[in-house]
Amino acid sequence: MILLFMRGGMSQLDTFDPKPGRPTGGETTAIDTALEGVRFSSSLPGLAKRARRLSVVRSLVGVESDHARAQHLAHAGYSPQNGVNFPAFGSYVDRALGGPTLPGFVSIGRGEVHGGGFLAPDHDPFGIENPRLAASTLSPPRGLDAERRHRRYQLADELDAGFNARFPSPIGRSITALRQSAANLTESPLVEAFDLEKESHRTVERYGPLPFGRGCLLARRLIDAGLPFVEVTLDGWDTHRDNFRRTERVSSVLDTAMSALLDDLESSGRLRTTIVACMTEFGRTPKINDKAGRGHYPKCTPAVFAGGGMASGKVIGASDEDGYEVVSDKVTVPDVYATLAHALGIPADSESISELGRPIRLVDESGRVIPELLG
Amino acid sequence: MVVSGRALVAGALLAFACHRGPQTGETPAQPGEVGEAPEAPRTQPEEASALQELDALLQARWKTSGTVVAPAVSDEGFLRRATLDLIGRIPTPSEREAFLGVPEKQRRAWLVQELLGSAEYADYQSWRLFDLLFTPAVRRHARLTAPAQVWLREQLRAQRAWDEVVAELLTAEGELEYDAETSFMVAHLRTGGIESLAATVSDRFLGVQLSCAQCHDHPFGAWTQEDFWGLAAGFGSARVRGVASEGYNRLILEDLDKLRPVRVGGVTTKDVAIVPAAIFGRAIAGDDPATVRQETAKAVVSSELFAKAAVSRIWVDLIGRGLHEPWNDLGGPGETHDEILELLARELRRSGYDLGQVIRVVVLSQAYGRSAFGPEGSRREAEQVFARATVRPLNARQVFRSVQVATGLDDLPSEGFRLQVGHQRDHLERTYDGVFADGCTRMADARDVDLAQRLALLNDGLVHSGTLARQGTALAEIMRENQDPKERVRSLYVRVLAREPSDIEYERALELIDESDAPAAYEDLMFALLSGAEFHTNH
Repeated sequence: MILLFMRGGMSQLDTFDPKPGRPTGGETTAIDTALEGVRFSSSLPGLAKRARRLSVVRSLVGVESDHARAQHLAHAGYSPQNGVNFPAFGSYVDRALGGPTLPGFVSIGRGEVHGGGFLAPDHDPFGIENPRLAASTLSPPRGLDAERRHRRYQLADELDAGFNARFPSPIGRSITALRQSAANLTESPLVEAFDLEKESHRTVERYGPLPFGRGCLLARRLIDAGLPFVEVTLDGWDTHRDNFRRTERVSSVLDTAMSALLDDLESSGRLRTTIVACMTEFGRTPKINDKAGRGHYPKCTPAVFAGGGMASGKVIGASDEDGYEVVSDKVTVPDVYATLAHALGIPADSESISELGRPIRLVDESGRVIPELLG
Repeated sequence: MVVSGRALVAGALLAFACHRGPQTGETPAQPGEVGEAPEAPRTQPEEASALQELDALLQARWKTSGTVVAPAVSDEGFLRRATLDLIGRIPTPSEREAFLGVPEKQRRAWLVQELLGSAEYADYQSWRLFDLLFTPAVRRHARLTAPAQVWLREQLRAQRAWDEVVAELLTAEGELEYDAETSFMVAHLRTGGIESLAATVSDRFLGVQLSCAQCHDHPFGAWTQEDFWGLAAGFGSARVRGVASEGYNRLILEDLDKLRPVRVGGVTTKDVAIVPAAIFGRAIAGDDPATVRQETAKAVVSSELFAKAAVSRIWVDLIGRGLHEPWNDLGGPGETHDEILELLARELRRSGYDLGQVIRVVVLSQAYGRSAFGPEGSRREAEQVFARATVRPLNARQVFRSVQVATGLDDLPSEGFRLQVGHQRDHLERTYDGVFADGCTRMADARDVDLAQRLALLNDGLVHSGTLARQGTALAEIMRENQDPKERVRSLYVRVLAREPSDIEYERALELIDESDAPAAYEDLMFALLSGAEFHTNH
């Protein structure tokens, strides 16, 4: 699964649910898509053309309007709660589907990452800030042959065994285990998947020149290598001022990269088995403020899906003509995760024990599978 | 450098250059039994009594809990721990020598005094406080936040009282570029508005998590959303005005002419009632925004919670396990070591809000003086009553600075190389930044290490070059100054781990040296020591 996370709060009214001609529509113009009667903002021409592969959810209602709290909800399917460190959904996917060598949950992009919570450190995401530099962190320093490298790893393991026996601690054990993982990863031929230099110039250009584009290309390579869950973050959606120009710019980055991603996954045959989810922490206010901006608006949060077991060529739910309220097929974030878990074959009701000993369901019990969203 | 002239004069025993510190791994003590307390430091009678009172509370707690108390931490162990905690790096070999040269009973008090008075203390603690003031998300706005760190360092150097420091941050006005104390409010107002500001004030300065937990009881009454927005209203009329000037946006922090109406939820819809500025249910009177802000700031720093939050943070920072978990949810569910909390809060007030004084008391206490030695089975139980030291991860700055000390990368003569170290420092610090978590939960067992950090340490070219026996590194110096393999191994351990090797460790190292050529064998040993759990933890 690839999660494209639009950080800051993507405006639904200026992307996937435009209201041209209405006062709340503002400066945004709309274009037809490949789906009859469905229009997107004109800053998403690539995705408009490819709309037959998408399911567009226009009725997702969130409950958090603070960035940190809403991002927590969007990643974990739960609002933050004192006493529980909720894992990101990706950590559960890693646990269920991850392999022994490569990290099963990779998070690409700058900024804070929602971690493994009580499933850490084993299922913490592997963070890559700069897609171009990922490969260099994974290659060993020059001048050390394999034999020497292995001698070093072994010596470090021996010293740790002594220390951890004298002063046992979870952190000491984590450091040992993680160093071993780092060493295994460095020595594994699978590491080539992280090397963007292996892609042609033309391919790189198709995804767009910015880090997000490269991040999507890297995500595709990792999916090709069999990784179960990759997240790529795109910042710049928090448009309290100058909403129209800024949203147009960042939409175009999304449009280019996601179109290229869908095309590549389709032509390699992997789109059938890979869910692509485009999500955000909340939508934005229909009312436009005096700085031509929009505020936070969880009541209408956009979400778009493709591939995997997800429906294609569908629009789920609707908002009223001005975008103030959802008027049909209201769904929640737990519903979305219940659906994704179902599509991935992971039981949504499975329980894990938190740090304080409480059993925590993977998906909140209020979450219901959305039948229209499944293919 | 920590060593001062005074140390050389006082340490007549400095001649004992080859004094071997106590080995780690002493036999465990019986339940309730503790090693002999170091002689009380030569301080004011009131200071000494706070320390004695704290130790008495700890011992009483250990007796009632019946848990096995860990033995005292060795002097060497104390040196490494305190140096890391107070100035953010491991001690150098010469600092270790100077420390061990001080008469045994005075050593620890002497060390604390040295560390607290050093320039590195102000620098390192300014970064810790910087992390306290701003979450990682806010910190990324470097232009807005960077001035705060510089300003904090100056306040620490001047030994300014903590209540004055916070009051100044909350009542600041002026232009960001010239008045660094405006940075705190400017950064929060620009990135998250008064909500972010109020959440930080309550979370970090008052130790009450209003932002998450709306529904647990508080010792001074039940906190509600009204309380949160009342606090926000106290600062609600401050604003940042941007002034475009020659292609550059000047940022000015000032108060509006009139009080801005603040409503629960931060909404502006008129059907929701306005919340007046209030703190702990007591209204802040006044029509003039500047006065209201000043009164709110005063109420914050003079509250009992302010002192408690400060000492709660200091305790968890030094001990690794809070007087309450998390440290900034005082009044929330879970056990609180109330008596210790109140004792330290009292000490903070008595000292005139001198954070260094509370740090001194905690560092010289029996709790801080415990070893981390003991079986895994009883570990949690012992840690919860501070009868055993908690092994803690190093944060980003500690790792980087300690790698520099261990490898001598810092001292390389080449200017170009030093610049590269500077650039790399930022990159590496961002990669493995260990910080106070944003949000509700920060449990003692929360992990700060991840795969990306470990990969960086394993494979990074700069760190690697520090492990080589060339280019003026610490290893090269050791190879040059010693010819005997045993001496070389000893110097390497002292340099990297601040202790001497055990007999078994000597054996293993000499085995390695026999197998393959020097200097490769020593480089491999250096790598292993530098990559190990012992180096990367505070224990």
